[in-house]
This record gives sequence, structure tokens and C-alpha cells, in this order.
Amino acid sequence: MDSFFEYRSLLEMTKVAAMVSAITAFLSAFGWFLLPRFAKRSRGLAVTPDGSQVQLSVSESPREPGGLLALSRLLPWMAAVCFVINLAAQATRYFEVRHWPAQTMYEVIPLGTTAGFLSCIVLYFVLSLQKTRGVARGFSDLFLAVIFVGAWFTLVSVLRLDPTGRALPPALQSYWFSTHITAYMFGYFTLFIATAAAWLLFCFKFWRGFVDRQNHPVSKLTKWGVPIFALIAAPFGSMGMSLGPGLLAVTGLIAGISAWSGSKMEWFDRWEKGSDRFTWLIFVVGFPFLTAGLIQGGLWAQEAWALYWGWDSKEVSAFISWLFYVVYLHLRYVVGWRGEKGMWILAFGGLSIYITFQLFGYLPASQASLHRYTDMSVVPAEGMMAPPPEAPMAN
Amino acid sequence: METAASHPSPKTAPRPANPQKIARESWTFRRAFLVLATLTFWAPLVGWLTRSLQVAEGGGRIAFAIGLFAAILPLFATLAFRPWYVFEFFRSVRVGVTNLILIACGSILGVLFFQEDADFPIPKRAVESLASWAEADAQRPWTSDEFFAYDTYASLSGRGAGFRNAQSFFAYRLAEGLGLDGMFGLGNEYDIDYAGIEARLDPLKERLPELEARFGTDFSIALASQSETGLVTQARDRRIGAIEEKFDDFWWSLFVWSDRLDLIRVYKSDWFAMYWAILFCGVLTNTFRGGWRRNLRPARWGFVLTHVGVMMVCVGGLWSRINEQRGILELNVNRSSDVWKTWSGETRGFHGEWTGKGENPFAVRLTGFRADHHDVLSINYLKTNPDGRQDFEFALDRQPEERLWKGKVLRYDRVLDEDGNEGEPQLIIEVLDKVEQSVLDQRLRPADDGETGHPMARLALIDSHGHRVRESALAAALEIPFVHANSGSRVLLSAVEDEEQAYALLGETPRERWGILQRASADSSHKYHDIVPGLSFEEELPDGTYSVEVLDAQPFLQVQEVNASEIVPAPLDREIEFIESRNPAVQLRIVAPDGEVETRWVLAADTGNSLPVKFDQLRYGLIWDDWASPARQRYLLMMSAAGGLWWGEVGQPDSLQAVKEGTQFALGADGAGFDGGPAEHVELVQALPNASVAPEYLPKAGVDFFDTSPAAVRLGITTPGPEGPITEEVWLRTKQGRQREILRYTAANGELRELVLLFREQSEQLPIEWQSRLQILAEDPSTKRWAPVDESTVRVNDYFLHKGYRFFQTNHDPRDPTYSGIGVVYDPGIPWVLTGYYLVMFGTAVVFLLKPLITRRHRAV
Repeated sequence: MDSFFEYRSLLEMTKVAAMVSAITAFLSAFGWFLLPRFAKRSRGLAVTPDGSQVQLSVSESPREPGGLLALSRLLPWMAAVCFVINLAAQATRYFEVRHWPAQTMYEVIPLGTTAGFLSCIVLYFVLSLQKTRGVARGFSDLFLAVIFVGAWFTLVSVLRLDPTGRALPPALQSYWFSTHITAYMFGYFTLFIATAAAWLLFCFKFWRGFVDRQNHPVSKLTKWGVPIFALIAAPFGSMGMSLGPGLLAVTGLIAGISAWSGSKMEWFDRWEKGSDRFTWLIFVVGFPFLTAGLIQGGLWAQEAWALYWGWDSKEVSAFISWLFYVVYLHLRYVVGWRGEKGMWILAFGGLSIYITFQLFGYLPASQASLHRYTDMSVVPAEGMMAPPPEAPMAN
Repeated sequence: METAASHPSPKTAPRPANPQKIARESWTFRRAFLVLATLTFWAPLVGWLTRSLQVAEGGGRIAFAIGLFAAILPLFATLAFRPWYVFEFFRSVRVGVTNLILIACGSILGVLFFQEDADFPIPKRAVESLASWAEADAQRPWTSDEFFAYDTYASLSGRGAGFRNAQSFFAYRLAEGLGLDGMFGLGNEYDIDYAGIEARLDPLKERLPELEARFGTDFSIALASQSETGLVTQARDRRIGAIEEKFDDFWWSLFVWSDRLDLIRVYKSDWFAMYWAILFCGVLTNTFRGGWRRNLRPARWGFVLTHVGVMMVCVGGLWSRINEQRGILELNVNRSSDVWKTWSGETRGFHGEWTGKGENPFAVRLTGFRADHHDVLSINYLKTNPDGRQDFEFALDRQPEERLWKGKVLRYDRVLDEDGNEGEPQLIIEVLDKVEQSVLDQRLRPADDGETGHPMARLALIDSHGHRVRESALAAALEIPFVHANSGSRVLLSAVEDEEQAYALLGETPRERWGILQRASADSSHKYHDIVPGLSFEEELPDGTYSVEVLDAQPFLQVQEVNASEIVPAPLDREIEFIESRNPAVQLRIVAPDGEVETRWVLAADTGNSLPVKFDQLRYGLIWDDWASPARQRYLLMMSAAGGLWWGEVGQPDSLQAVKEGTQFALGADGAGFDGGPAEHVELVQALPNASVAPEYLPKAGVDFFDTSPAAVRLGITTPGPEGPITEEVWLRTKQGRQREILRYTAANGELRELVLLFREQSEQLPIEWQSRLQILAEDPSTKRWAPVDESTVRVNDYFLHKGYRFFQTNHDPRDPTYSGIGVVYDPGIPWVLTGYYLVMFGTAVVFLLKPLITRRHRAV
């Protein structure tokens, strides 16, 4: 049993839980989207217990099947299960390395997925997803499915990383180490969810323009923005392919199912009307934590080096991401950029965070950064390899 | 989007009745951008004219003054004749947002271009001067400023990546990410041979299941990952190097233009500073728009807190930029200084000409320093080659190492079944006890049954007042003496058969040597040399014969300075007999076959052999010999198996005397010690002819972090035995004791496993913790004497603030354990910025978290 309570085993379990949750969410979502079709199929004559025949009719809002509703209501609980297992993994890692598990990417990213699951549960209630009814519930379930799929992809990539546990160097031995990184992770992953939400809404808007061109024409911004965003996401590995072009295809399929069911995606009306506020509320949950992470970094640097802001490339990258959202905030609050324009900023905000979080090491100034603690040493075990081709072979 | 044409021009419009409305409407994003872009060019022009005016002389001064006047005239004219226009500009949200976008763009430039070190900036005009060097005066040598500029470009001195490397690295990674790395047109020899890498990794991959069983899943995954990434990185580095070389002219031109446009110092540029000034003015005018009384409403508290915070950060930043001084105070333990050096090399006093005028100056004394390294257990499985030599079973760059703490259990060498599934571990190491600062348990214990007993004695040092100062245990088998520095005496315990042999032993004069120089050879064997000053010998290496000469040896090396990476030791203040071996070192002069000479210090503390050397192929370790190194007098305490005890001075057989427990002996003679006082004594407290030599360690009582006693660990080691698992307990210590444990067991598959457990300090890596204890000394006006007025301990993340100066731990020198580099910062802007930080953080939380929670306005759809 000693391997059960190991970090790696628990991460594997979280990965499986995220995958099961994603499949459940997809099944539930497709169940809701297919509901009108099957409800139509049941239209016809039925025999009553007294033997008479009755003409059945289907209302615009078909009756919610209890099983589907139960499956849908299971999803926040599944997010809670993922959160608990992931949290247990982080706690186990704490005891394995004897410090807050946030030094290497092998520790930081799962800390982020833990925060992401927590954020998912919080957002479920903040966005009142539990109150959604009818086919519209398919959208909320699909939204949760996207989060689970993102978490699953993330954990798959984490489990390929170098798992070496490292001791903290003096500069990282501070109480800010835990709060600074945890606040950032909650902010990052919540704002990733905001990006996913905006993207999902744009995908449906895009397809609805095809399904119901007359009543819901696609704006130029969305018409061009959606394919471009899908193309931008595509190079970011299998996750980028799945959540970019892949999700666009899935939403297209759902739009097709709606058309097949004789609907013009009326269920999307309320989501479309509330889309700006929907994404805004996710931003509202994530942004204070992003700010707290940024500020705590400054407070920490001040304690470590009496330097509250060193213009280190990682600091600046994080600052640029923060400015991105500050600009969104002011444009939406004061200039009145609501709806599509504001949501596109949120969609691209995730890219800015991704660059800061994962691609920072490719920037020219990153090599001199004070934030290279998380990089692992990459010393090849040459003594155990075949000799290089130019070297003389041993007899 | 609104356009400027759809609104009355500010020039022609009458004074508005509702300025707030006009402010919202009269600025479009396009106009805001155009004005800000103009200011982006205007700010560096004004900055350049101002700086040029300060240094210009004669007619040039007048020209610059006129130019500056012409440059700032439009600004003053606008302020004087159209103040409302300026006010509207700052109050416009569109201007504010555009300005934020420009700050973001400036920051993006900052991360896309290599930035010079803010503490070591390129001297002014050095790049320009170097750029014109080839054409203007190719024969003259470079100035130091020019060399520094080129070093920033090409990193000749190796102080981090230079501009060329950083930009090449970025260009390559960007192109590679987009699948365009072929655009560099590099030759085939620089292609990354992924198939070749796979082929090289094959033997490792074949052994991965074995490694996983032996050391665990995480270890094998890490090894595979690091090996693959390492090989790919090496190949990538070759490509990046080729890009550097091939496009050198382009990179150089980019560097010169980046210097001209301040792209390598974006954050210190005039245009970037201007954006921040506009941000401040914009936030100021908008925060108090509509009167300050509005801000008292609870609904605006979060908004006000956040925006006041941003303003405080801007004010503090400006204040820092004007007044900030940063540098280093370099001290050795028990040394003080009333001056420190800025990073630019200027010497400053504390509260001198530059800071805290009117305050009394003060000095800083370092009363303690220690860098504590990680203690790790290295697990070294060995194999015996056909020629009988032992080597590592796994040829890793570094054998597995584990940090230890009490309760930790390490499991190795799992049994594999026929299908390759892992079973129970065959080697289990449990950490039963860990003592960070250990002291040998001085109480002697008779050997247990089955354990071989050895002669051991316990001595106590009695000072001139008759107090017991310290106790020390001596073991005949270890040959580690009791060292009394004040008298220059050494006491050693020896096992003898009888009084006759004791007498004879006293008559033998020990061979004097400083210690042993140990060279690790490529074939894992070791060569040893006894060190005496003047010793010279030769070393045969594949590239020829090196001659080595011992120039000097010191028991306690204190580094005064390092010149061109060569250590200059501080002069000794006493003869070496009176010095304890706290940092033993030996100085060598090595002459290579080609006549090249290296003078180096070899430190006993450098167990990781990590100090930089010129001839890397010739590495030495040092073991200091406390008994044979120079001493004023050496005493022998001798013990027979029958319990006989004798004492005498080496070289004087007639001094032999029979002693018993409780006897006291003088160390040296009155007035002969270093302090010239009365002789101190040692007392024989306890003596056992068959004491257990298995050491036990206790936590050292009454010591703080600065005590350098080594760590000790008690391990419970379980290995397979013929009749089931066998568990034994062993104490290991990183220094001054038993450091390694040799184990042998037969594995389930019948193979003999041989391994060495080594408990050591990871001195070649960053310390786990380093602290300095500082004392502030100030002149007492009444006595005119300097006296301590304040004291604190600094560590990374915990600085010491005294009268505006912040002292924090910056660096240390592994060559000199008494040296500490203390960072010094004088920055009166810090409190402003910190207050601003907290206000922004709490203001944001109020706006986005507290307010919605209270008002419950969060339902989405």
C-alpha cells in the first residue's frame, strides 16, 4: 500500500477522475442536446390504461428526463471528487518534499489543476448553473466538460515531466512562496476557464449564424475571429488541437444535431444574451487572485532583496497579462465594450497567461531571470548511453 | 467607434458646461494614440537635450539650451493657454486605456529584447564608440567601457547570456515553434539528429526497468527525461550557436540600434517613464473626478483604495528612482566597516554625503556568519570489474542522493517477478534520528557483547580559573587529536601494550606533515601525497607531465580578496601552531606540459571539488592532519588493554608518568601560550580500554544557527539475510566522524549487491540557508567611543532595517567560510510602494469579491 499514497499515484487517479468526469459531462451534454429529437420521435398515439388512444404532443421545452437530470447534477460532485483527490496529491507531495509543492512544474501545474477544480465548483454556483433547465442545460454541461478535458490534458502532460523533488533554495524559503504561487494558480486557471467560456460561446455563435442566418447573423468580428482563434490554438499540442479546432468541430456537431432536431438553437438565446455577464463573472472571480499573485510577488521580492520590482522578465510577463485584464476591465466598465469585443479580449487573455506561465522560458531575457527556480537540470546520463557517433567505439 | 470629426474641436468649442461629459467625448482612441505616440518621441528628445545640456560647454551649451527651450515650449504654451485641454487629456478614459496599452507594449519590448543589468549598465556612448571603432581608429585598443559593452553583446566573460545569444535563442525557439527553423539556412551538420538521439538512448532505455526497480519510478522517469532533454538541448544549443555566428553582423546592428533606441534598457527609458507619469496624472484626475466627497460612499471604497494604491506606487517608484542606492558590504566575521560599495564601485559611508544628512554615521560589524548546506545520503551501488577494481554499478553523472529527515523511509532494490512486476524492496533505510548540529556523546560505554572494544578516553579542558570549558572524547583507533589552540598543544590517545612500549612511543618524533593531498584519477583510483611546504612532485596525465609544488598551507584560510579568480588570503595574525584547523587549505603551483602555470588553493572544505580551476583534469582533495601539522608541543595519553594509563610529551620519553582518572595535566608552560597567560590544563575524566567505538551523537546544547557542528543521522538499515531480513542501526556524520557505511547483501536473484552509503554536505550546491549576525556600531557622544547600538540577524527573505538602510543576505564564498556579502539598499521610496501594493491588492478584493458577496449581484443568466 505504500505506493497508493504517493504523489504520482494520486495524480494518476486525478487524471482518471477528470477523464471520467469529462466523459460523463459530454454524455450529459449530448443527452440534453438530443432531447428534442427523441421527444419528437415519441410523438404519436399512446394507449392509456383504460384502452383508449391518446394523441401525444411535444412542447417546446420537452420534459426533463430524471436520469439525465441526475447525471447533470452529478457533475459538480465529480468536480469535487477531482478536487479532493488532487488536493490529497498536493498534500502527499508536501510530505514527500517537505515544502509547499510549488517548486517544479511537476508540482506547480497540479497545484493549478487543484485550483482549477476548486474554481469550477465555485463558478458552478456563482454562474447559477444548477438552475439551468431544459436543453440549455446541455451548454452548461458542455462547459464543465471542456474544463474537465482541459484538466485531463494538463495532467497527462504533467505526468511526463521530470518528477525529481528538490529542496528549496534560500530565496524560496518564505511564507510568500505558498500564497504568491497559489494565488497565481487560482487566478491563472480561473482566467483560463474564462477563455474557454468565451471561446465556447463564440463557437456556438459562429455555428448559429449558419443554422439561423436570418435572425442571428454572425458579426464580422466573430466570423473572422473564430477560425483565427482556432488556428492560433492548433499549434499548442494536443490540448490546443482538442480545445481549439476540436471544440469548434464539436459545437458544429451540436449545431447540426439542433438543426436535425428541427430547432434553430433557440436554447442558445439565453446564453447569448447573458454571454457577456457569464464571462465577466468568471473574470471577477479570477482577477483579484491574479492581482494578489502579482502584488505578493513584489512584496516577497522586497523582503528578499529590498527590491519591490526588479523588471525581471517573468515579472514583466505577468505584469503584461495583468495589464491585459486591466485594459479589459476599463474598456468594459468605462468605455462600454460589452459583448463580443470584451469577450474577445478575455479569449486572448488566456494566451497571454499561457505565454507567461509556460512559454516564458523561450523569451530572450528569460535566461537571466530570477524566476528560473522551477527549471530542472537536464544533465544527460551519458555514461549509460551509447557513445556519440564520432567517439571511438570501445572494443 | 466615435471619431474626432463628429465632435466640436476643443479649439473652437466654447467652455463646456459639463466638463465631465466633454472629457468623455472629445478623445477618441485614434487621437489618444497619436498624441501619446508624439509624446513617445518627444520625451527622449527632452531627456537627451537635458542630459547634453548638463555636460556641454561653451557654444554647445547655448545650442542645447535653445533646443531644450524649443522642445518644452509647446508643453508650457499648452499648459498656459489651454490648461483645460491638458486636464481633459489626463481625464480621458480612452487616453488612459491607450496609455495602459502603450505601457504593455513597452513591457512587451522589454521582454522581447535582452535587457542590460540595471546594476551594471553599459557606460554611456560605449556602444556608439565601439560601433565606429572599426572605421575610425582600428589600431587603438578598446577602452574598458568598450570592452564592457562588447561583453554585454557577446558575453565574453561568461557572466550570463549576452545580447547575441539571448536574441538568437529567442529567434530559434520562435522559428522552431512555428516550424520555420529551416529559414536560418544552417548546414546539415547542425540538424538535430532525433534518430541518433533515440539510438544513443536505447541502452539507457533497456536498463530503465532495472533502474526503476533499484531506485524507484520517479528516479527512472527523471533520468530518462533529463537524458533525452539534455541531448536535444545540446543539439539545439549547437544550432543556436551557429545562428549567433552566421548572423553576427545582423545581431550587432540590432544591438547598436537597440542601444540607440533604449530597447535594451526599456524600463529606464524616458519614454517609458513618461507613460507612467501620464498614468499617474490620469488616475489622479479620474479618482477625484466629481469631487472627493463622492469617494466617501462605501460603494466607491474599493475603487478609491485601488487607484490611490496605483498612485502611491507611481510616487514611490519616482522617489526610488531619484534616491535609490544599492550595493554591497563585504565583511568577514568579527570585522566591521563604516563604508560600503555601490554596484558601480563607488564607496559610500552610512549616513554620509549622499544619504541621511544630519544623521550621525554608523558602522556595521559582522559577528557571525554561516552557510548551511543540505545534508544528503548518497546511495552508491558498486560492481567489481574483471580486473578486481570496483566501479559504480550504474554509470550515472551523479549517484542517487536523498535529503533526510526523521521518519523518512527509503525503499530500494525491489524484487522483480518473471513478468517484470515490482515486489517488495530488499533494501530499506529508515531515518531513526537526525541531529542538525551534533556533538559526539562523550560518555564512554563499554563495548557490548560481540562488539570489539577499543581504548577510549574523555578529556576536559580546565581554564586558568579552574572551570571546565569543554569536553572531548579521544579514540585510539581514530587518531584524531584534542587540539588546544591557545597553547599550540595537541593530545592524542594511543593504545600500547605496556609501560615499556609507552616509553618507546614517546621517544618517536612524528613525521611532520600538513595533511594529505588526494588526487582522483580517471580510473577511480586515488593517489596520495603527504604535504609539506616545498614538496614538489610530478603527475603523469595523457597530455603530458605536470609538475606540482606546494607553496603554502594554512589551517584557517581567510580570503581577503579574489583577484582574477585567484584567492588572496588574509594575513595570519598569529603563528599557525596557535590556529585551529577551521578552514584548512593548501596552495599549489602547477606547471602544465606547455609551460602554462596555475596557482590554486585546495580547500579541505571543498568536498564537492567544485571550485573553479584552470587545469580541470588535475583535481585535488585535501585531508588535514591535526596531529602531524605544526604544533608547539604534542602529548600522548597511552592506554593498555589491562587498564594501564600513561601520559607524556612527545620527544621527551622521560616525561612519562602513570596517571588515573581525575589527573590533570598542564598544556604548555606558564606564559608560553599565545595570550601569554598561565597554562591551561586538561583533566582525564574517564578512560575505558574496551569502550564501544560505535559513536552516538546528541544535539549540541545552547548553540544557535552559527555553530558549525556537523549533522548526524541514525539510520535503521534492513537488508536480506540468510534467515530473513536483518536490521542494523548506524550513526553517520557529514564531517568529523564516520561518513560512510559499506553494505553487502545477496539479492533475491542470487546476485551479490555491494553498496556504499555516504552521508555528506552538498557543498557544491546552493546552501539551504545562510545567515549573518550584524551589529550596528555608533559613536557615543559622551565617551567618543564606538559602541553597539543595535543587533539583528539577516537571512534571505528577512532583512534588517536601520535608519533607512536595508541589509540583507546576498552572497557567500565557499572558499572562505567567514566571509559574508551583505546587500545594502537605501531607498526611501519603498514604504510608499509597499503601501500602494497593499492598497491595490485589498482594493481589488473589495471591488470584485467583498462587494459582490455583500450585494449578491452575481447571477449570470
